[in-house]
Amino acid sequence: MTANSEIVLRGLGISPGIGWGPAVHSPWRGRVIFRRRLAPQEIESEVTRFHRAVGIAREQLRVLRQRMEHALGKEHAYILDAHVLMLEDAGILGEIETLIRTNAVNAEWAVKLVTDRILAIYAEIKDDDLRERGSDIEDVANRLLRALSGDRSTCALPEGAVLVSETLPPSLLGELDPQRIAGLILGTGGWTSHVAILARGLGIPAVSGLRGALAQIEDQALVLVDGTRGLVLVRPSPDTLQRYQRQRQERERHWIRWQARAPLPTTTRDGVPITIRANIERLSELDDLRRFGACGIGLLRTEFLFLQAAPELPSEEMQLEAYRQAAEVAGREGVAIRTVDWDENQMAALGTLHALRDRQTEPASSEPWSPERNPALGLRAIRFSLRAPEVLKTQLRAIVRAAAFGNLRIVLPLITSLEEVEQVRCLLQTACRELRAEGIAVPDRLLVGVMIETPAAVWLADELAAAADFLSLGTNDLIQYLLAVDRDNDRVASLYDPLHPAVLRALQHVIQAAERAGRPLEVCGEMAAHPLHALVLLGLGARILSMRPRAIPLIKDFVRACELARAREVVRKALAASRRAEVRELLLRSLQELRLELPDEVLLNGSAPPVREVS
Amino acid sequence: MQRRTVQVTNRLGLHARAAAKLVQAANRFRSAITLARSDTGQTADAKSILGVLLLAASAGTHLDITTSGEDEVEALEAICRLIESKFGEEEERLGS
Repeated sequence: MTANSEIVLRGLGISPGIGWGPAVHSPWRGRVIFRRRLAPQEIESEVTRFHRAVGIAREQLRVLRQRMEHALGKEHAYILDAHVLMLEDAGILGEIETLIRTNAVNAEWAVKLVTDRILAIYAEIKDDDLRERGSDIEDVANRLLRALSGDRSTCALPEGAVLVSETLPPSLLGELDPQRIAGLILGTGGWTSHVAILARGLGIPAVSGLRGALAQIEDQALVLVDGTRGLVLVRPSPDTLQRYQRQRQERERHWIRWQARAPLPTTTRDGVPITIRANIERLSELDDLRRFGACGIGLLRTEFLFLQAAPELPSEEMQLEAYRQAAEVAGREGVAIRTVDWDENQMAALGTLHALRDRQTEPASSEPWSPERNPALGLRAIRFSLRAPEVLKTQLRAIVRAAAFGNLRIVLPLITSLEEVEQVRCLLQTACRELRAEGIAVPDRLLVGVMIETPAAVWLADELAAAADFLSLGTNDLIQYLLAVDRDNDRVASLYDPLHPAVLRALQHVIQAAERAGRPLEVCGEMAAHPLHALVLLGLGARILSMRPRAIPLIKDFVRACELARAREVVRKALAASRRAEVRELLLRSLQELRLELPDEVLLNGSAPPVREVS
Repeated sequence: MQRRTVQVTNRLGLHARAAAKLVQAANRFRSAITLARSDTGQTADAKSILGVLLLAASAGTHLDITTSGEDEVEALEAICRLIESKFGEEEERLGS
């Protein structure tokens, strides 16, 4: 292989889409600092150079802080306040200046010595949460060193670059700007990581899980990120590039068409109405409901509230305000609010765990907390909520109160038994009773739904459907638990297959159980956002699909092109197949028969938004 | 010179955000403001974020606050109130 040939790296696509540009390694990467002895007459100018760099770094942080506040909310930007203060700290600056003068060394070396000393003290701190702040010191020191190197740009990244980094430090998160960054290549971090969620929300294509391979991407080399397929192409050939360029143009053309038709109702070719709803992660996405033509919210995730309130827990008032906003925007179509779905490790990372453990009914053991080895099977979602009923009750009270402003329903994550549903209903009654006693209006009826996302829930689907007002199919977790595959683990992610025969049969069982019990069923996992998978869901009998807002225009267009009778027929055959390959083969053939005006790449790989959004 | 002892009661102690608030508050006064851990005697200048962070004052830590200067009374009052109010985290959330 010559040095200039195309290299294909396979990773985990964590944000769909295609982007290309020169590779830029994280500016914080492995910097080697040299010591230089200064001549006496150089000292003054070195001190001046140091102070100028401090000024530049401070200004950069101020700009970043604003941007971060805008993108992630005020509560996240605080971390940069501490960074600014470090650059205003007379003690730190004085110590560095003294070192430059007395040791006659360059500013970089003085910064390094002082940083190392501070980090050594940090390492001695016993309290885990407080000790973690050491990474902030490193982040600030790196920014200062970059300013010293003469790099004056506010943004560490040149326009149109593809950022290559092991992980993203907090101050770089704020620099994720879709106008500037063509793509992201990360060493680690799964589909559910903070970076991934942010990248998807901003429409920046991203591929992760390339740990060892990052070194193969040299600085400034042209790289192409295909977040839809999870590919990174280093120095793509002109042919490859042309192919992708065509795809991108085609997709932009389609996107314009999809968006234009998004507000129209969605009916299959043979006249069956299908409801398309939105999954919402943050309140800032509420505008997307109208923009992409969503029919209400099929899943309002509430983790963002806990993120905002960290390290404390979100108050009833704060939650009420958020749910009220969602209720008002969604209007008649309503909102399904999912009670918080987090595991202990995530809570610990937020610093919220202390607050939560204090409120747990079972006394926390006196042993210090240690991370869960297997959080997916641990204390998470509804288990977490039921262990700290006061926290769940606060959430339920906020939902009940917000129901005065619109059509709200509750949905419970990770249910594995009827008892869990009964316990929540009991707590909901208590909450309503308390509210009435306080003279607060309580709606006559509030629907409670159960997420079917564990094998246990699949096999109890009939009973759960009877106990609940509606079912919600959480396909992401269901597939993970059915196939025993963690899709955040890039080593096994390829085994994660929504079209696996076992998955299809489980889905059929659940959809039929909902029909038998006469309960509505919504699908709110990623599957719904993928044309091929949506075809299967429709064929199985699903009539309500909920997905990330950006996927809605494409899926609506796809549904309108589908004939339900045909979909049912194809799915019947697929259900009889016992091999993954057979299922895939069958479905692909039927897709071709549909003769849809859609790029193959989109049909096979899901609804990637275009790189540049055409509004 | 003014002096008072307060207890850190917010759950995370003087974490980065709380420390940032404390330093921002201290810098609004002309007086010299010193924090000292009652248990170890370790002291820090309240106007230095690094000093405050390195105190590593977790929840439950008692701090002796000393202020001295023309606005020492107001400074002591403001710093103590900030710590006792758990750094305003509660009110801010309600307002947001």
